[in-house]
Amino acid sequence: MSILKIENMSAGYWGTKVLQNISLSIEQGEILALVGESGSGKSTVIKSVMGLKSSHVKVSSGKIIFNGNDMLSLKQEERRRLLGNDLCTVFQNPQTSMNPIRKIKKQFLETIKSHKDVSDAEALRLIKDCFYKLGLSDADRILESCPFELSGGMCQRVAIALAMVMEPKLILADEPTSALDVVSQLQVVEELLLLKKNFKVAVLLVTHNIAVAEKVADKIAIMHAGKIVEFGDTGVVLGQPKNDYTKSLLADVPRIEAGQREREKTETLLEANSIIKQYKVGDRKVDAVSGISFELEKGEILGIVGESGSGKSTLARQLIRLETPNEGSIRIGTKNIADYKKKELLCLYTKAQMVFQNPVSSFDPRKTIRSSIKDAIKNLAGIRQSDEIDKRINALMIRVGLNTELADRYPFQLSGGQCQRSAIARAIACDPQLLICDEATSALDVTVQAGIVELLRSLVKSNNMSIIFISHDIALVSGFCDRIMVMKNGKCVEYGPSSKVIKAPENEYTKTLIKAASIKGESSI
Amino acid sequence: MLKYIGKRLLRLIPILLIITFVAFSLMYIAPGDPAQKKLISKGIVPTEEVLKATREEMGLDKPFVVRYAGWFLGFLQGDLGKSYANDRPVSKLLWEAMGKTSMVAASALILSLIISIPLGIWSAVRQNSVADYVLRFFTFLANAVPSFLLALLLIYFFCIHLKVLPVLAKNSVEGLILPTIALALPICGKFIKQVRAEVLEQLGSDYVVGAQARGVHSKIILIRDVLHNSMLSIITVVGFSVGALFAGSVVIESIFQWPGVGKLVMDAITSRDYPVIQGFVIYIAVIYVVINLATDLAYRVFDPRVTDS
Amino acid sequence: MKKTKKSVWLYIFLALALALILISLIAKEIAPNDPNATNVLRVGEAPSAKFPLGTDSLGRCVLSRVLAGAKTSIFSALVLVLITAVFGSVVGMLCGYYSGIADGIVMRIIDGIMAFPQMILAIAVAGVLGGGMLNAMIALGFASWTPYARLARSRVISIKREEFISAAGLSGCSDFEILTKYITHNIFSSLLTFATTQVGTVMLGFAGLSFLGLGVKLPQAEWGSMISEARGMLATAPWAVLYPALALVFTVMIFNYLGDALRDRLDVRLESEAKR
Repeated sequence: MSILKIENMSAGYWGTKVLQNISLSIEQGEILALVGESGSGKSTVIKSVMGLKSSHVKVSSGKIIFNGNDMLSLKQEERRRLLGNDLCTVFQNPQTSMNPIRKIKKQFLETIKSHKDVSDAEALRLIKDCFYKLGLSDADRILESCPFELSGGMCQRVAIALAMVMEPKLILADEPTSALDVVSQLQVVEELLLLKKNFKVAVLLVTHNIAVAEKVADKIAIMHAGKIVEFGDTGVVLGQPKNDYTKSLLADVPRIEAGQREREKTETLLEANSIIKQYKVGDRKVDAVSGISFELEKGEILGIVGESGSGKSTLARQLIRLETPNEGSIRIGTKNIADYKKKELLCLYTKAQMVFQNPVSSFDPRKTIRSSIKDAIKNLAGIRQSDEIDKRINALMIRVGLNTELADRYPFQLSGGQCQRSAIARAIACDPQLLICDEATSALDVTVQAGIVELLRSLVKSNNMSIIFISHDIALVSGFCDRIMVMKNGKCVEYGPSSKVIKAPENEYTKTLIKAASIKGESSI
Repeated sequence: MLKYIGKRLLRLIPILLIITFVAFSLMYIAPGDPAQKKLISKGIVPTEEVLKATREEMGLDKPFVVRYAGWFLGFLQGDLGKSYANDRPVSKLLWEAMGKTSMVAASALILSLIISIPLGIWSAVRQNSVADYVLRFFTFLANAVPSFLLALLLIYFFCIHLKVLPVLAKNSVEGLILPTIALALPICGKFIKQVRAEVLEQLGSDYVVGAQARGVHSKIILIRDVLHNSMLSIITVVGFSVGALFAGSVVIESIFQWPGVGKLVMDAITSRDYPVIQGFVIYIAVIYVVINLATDLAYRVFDPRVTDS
Repeated sequence: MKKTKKSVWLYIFLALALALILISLIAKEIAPNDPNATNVLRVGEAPSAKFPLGTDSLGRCVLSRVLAGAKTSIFSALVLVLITAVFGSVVGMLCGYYSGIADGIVMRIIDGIMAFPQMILAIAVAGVLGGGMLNAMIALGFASWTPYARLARSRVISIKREEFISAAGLSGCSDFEILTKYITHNIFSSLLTFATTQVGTVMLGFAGLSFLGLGVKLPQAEWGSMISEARGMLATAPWAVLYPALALVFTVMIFNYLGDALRDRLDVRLESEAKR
C-alpha cells in the first residue's frame, strides 16, 4: 500500500492555478524526487499535502491520501496530530525553519510533548536515541545551542533529526540541500540515504538539483508548468527520457566535462599579482582574498569556482576597482589599475566591464533599461546625440538576442534571463576587452542559464573578448572555461587548464566539488 | 557582555558632552544679558553696580568655554547650580520632585503595558476581524489625542460631571488615578500598534510555519516563540516611550498641579529660573540615555545574535 | 486587487487632507465672525445661529477661531516638516554617501541631540526663548530633523551596496550623478512617507507647546492655546474646549491615516531605521 497517494490534484493560491492534475504515489521506504525549475509548482505539492492554513494553498480538486487519511477532509486538530508525528517536513533553510534564538532542546521537547505525553527525561532519551541513529555526535552541546549558533549544514542535520524524532512514516523535504555548502550537501545526501536504510521512512524530496536527485532517489518525477511531465525509476528517466521537456532540461543541465576547446596562446591582457584584501570584522582583520595571482590572455575564458564566502566576488570587485586591494597589483595592459586617477577611471571602464549576480537588482528599479544603458553609452563612448544613442542601444539589444522594445521596460517587467541579457548589453556597450561575470547565471534556471552561456561564448568568438567567469558550479565552469581557479577561504587551492583540473585534481576540496556535481557515469572521470 | 557594556559606556562620553553643552548653552540663547535676567528673576532692581558684581560672580567676564568647563566639572560632582528663585541647589529640587514624577510615570508605564501587550497580541491574532478594526481605530484615536486634552476630558467626566474624583488631590491614591490614565492612554496607542505589527511579522515568519509543520499547539507557538521573539522590539519601544512619558508629565503635572519635575520646570519657565530649566533638561536626558542603554542590554538578553559591532 | 483597495484609502485620505488645507486657506472668508473680536457681554454662550459653536471666555466666536486656528496649526506643521525633512535628508544623504570622519562627527551630534526626548528639549528651548510662533518652530525643529538624517543615511548606505549602484559607477557616472540620479529617487518614497507620518506628531507638539503657553502669542488663534484658555470654563462652557479639540484630533488623525496609507501603498519600512 502506498504511504502517500495523490490523485488528480489541482491547486493554487488566491484563484491562480499552479498545479494541474497531479498524480503521485510513494511506497513505504521509498525516496521520490520531485524535480523542476523554479515556478514549476514543486513546492506547492508539498504545501498542498501539509495543508497548513498559513501557506494559503487551496486544493480545488483531486485527492490526497496519506496513510489511510483523507488529508483534504481532516479537521484542524486531527491534522495537527499527524503533522510532526507521522508526517514531517524538512525545509530549505534550517536556520529560519526553527526559531533562531531559542535553544534547540526546547524546540525538540515542545515537538515531542505536542504528540506524546512523556516526561522531560523520557523525551531527552528519545532525542539522544535519534541523534545516535543519525550519527550526530555531541548531542549535549547541540541541544544547548540556538540554531543561529550552528553552521547551516549542522543545522539541517539537526532539522532532519527533529523530523525523525517521532519516527514518522513520510518525510517531505523541500530543497533541503539548496541553502548548504557542497560538503554539507553531501552529508545531507548521506543522511537521507541513512534514513531510508535505518528507519524505512518514505521521503518526498523536492529539488532543482538533478545531481542530488540522482544520488538518492528511487523514482523521479519531472515537473514543468504545474504538471508532472515524466515519472518513473530514476535510472530510466535520466537515462532514456521520453518527454521533450525532460530531454531539453537534461541537455541544459551542466555536466562535468573534461574536454577543452583549442586555442592558441595570445598576449596577456590582465595580470594579477598576489592580491590581498582585508575587511575589518569587529576588532579583527579578516582576509577575504589572500594572495591571489593569475594571468589572463586575450580571448581567454577563466573560470573562478568557489562557494559563498570563498572570496571570489571580492576578488572580482578588486579587478575592476570597485574596491582597492590592500596589497598586490592588477595590471591591464601595462598600467596598474590602482594608479588610475578618478578621472581616468572611465578609460578603465571602456576596457573592462562587469555583469552582476542578480539581474533585476543590477538595474535601477525606477529607470527603464534604455535609460540605464544610455548613461553607459553617454559617459563611456562620449556620444551625445540621442538618436545616435538609441540606435546603438537597439543594436546592442539585438546583439544579445532581445527584442528592441524590451529596452523601454522597467527591470521588474522583464524575466530574469531577459534582464541578464540587458545587463550584458550594457556591459558590452563600449566593446570592452574584458568581461567579468560574477555569478551571472546563478539566479537563473538551467535552461535560461544555458542560453546566457551560449551568448557569452558567441561574444568571445566575435569580439575576441576575455571573460572571467565566476561561479559556484564547477560543472558549468568545466564545460565553458579554458582555465579554472578553485578558491576556498580567500585562497587559490587549485589553478590550471580546465581539462587538467577536472581530470586530475590534486586538491581534496576540488575533488569534493567534482564529486558533488557529477551525475552518474561521470563520477568515474 | 562586560566588554559590550564597557564599549557602550565609552560611547556615552560624546553624548554626555553634547547633552551638557546643549543644556549649558540654553541660558545663552535667551535674548538679553544673563546677569540682568538673573537679577530680574530674583526681583532685584539691576543697577550698574549690582550688575557688574553679578557678572563677575557668574563668571561672565571669562570666555564661554571656560565657563562651560567649570560648570561641567560641577555637573560631574552633581552640582547643577542654585535656583534663582530660592537659592536652593537645583539638584536637590529636582531630586525631590523626581520622586513624585516617577510615581506617575511608572504607574502610567505599567498600566499601558498591561493594557497594550494583550490587546496588541489579540488584535494581531484576530487580524482583519471586527475586533481588530475597532481596536485599530482606537489606537489611531489614542495616537491623535494629546494627553492634555485627555486630562481635560477626564476632569470633565469624573470631577465635574460625576463628581467621584478630586481635581487637585496631591499625594493621595485618588489623585494619582486621573494623571496616570491621561498619561497612559496616548502611550497605549503607540504600544498596541507596535505590538500588533511585531506579532504579525513574527507570525508570518518561517519558524512559525516550521513549528506548525511539527504539530506544535498554536497556543504554545504564540506564547513561547512569537511572544519571546516579539519582546525584542517591544523592549525598544518601551525605552523610547520614556521620553514621551516625561514630556507628557510636564503637561499633566501642570494641569493637575502635581508637584513633580514637570510642574517645577513650568514654574521655572514662568519665573525665568534658568538653572532649574538647565538642570531639568540634563536630568531627563541622563535618565533617558540610561534607560535606553538598559533596553539595549535587555535586547541582548533576548536576542543572543546581536554582536559587539 | 489588494493594491487598488489600498490606493482607494490613500486617495480618500489625501483628498481629506487637501480639503483641510483648502479650508484653512479660505478660513478668513468663511468665518462667520471676526475671530479676535471680544465681547464681554456674550461670554461662554451656548451655540446659536450667530455663534454656531458658541463663544469662549472672552466672548469670541469659537467657530471663527477654530477656522483661524486651522491655518496656524496646519501650516506651521507643514512648513516645519518640510524644512526639517529637507535639511535632515540632505545631511543624512551626504553622510551616508561619503561616510568618513565628517559622517562620524555628524552622527555623534545626532546621537547627542537624540539623547534628549524631543518634546522635553522643545519645552526647554521654547521656555528659554519665550513664546511666539517662530520660537516654537525653532524649538520643535531643533531636534526633529535628526530622524530624517538617520533614515536617509541608512537608506543610502543600504542602496549603495546594491548592484545597480556599482553598475552605474562602471557606466562612468560621477559620485554626484549617482547621488542625484540613482539614489535620490530610490529613497524619496521612504522620506516622503516618514515626513507624512511626522505631520501629526509635529501638530501635537505645537498644540502641546501652545497649551503650556509656549506657542503662539495671544490673541492669535491656535487649537492648543484655545483649549488652554477655555479650560477654566470647562464646567460652564465645555464647547469652547470641545470644538478646537475635535478639530485637532480629527486633523491629526487624517494626517496619520494618510501617512499609514502611503506607507502601505509604497510598502516601506521606517520605524526602526529612523530611530536606531
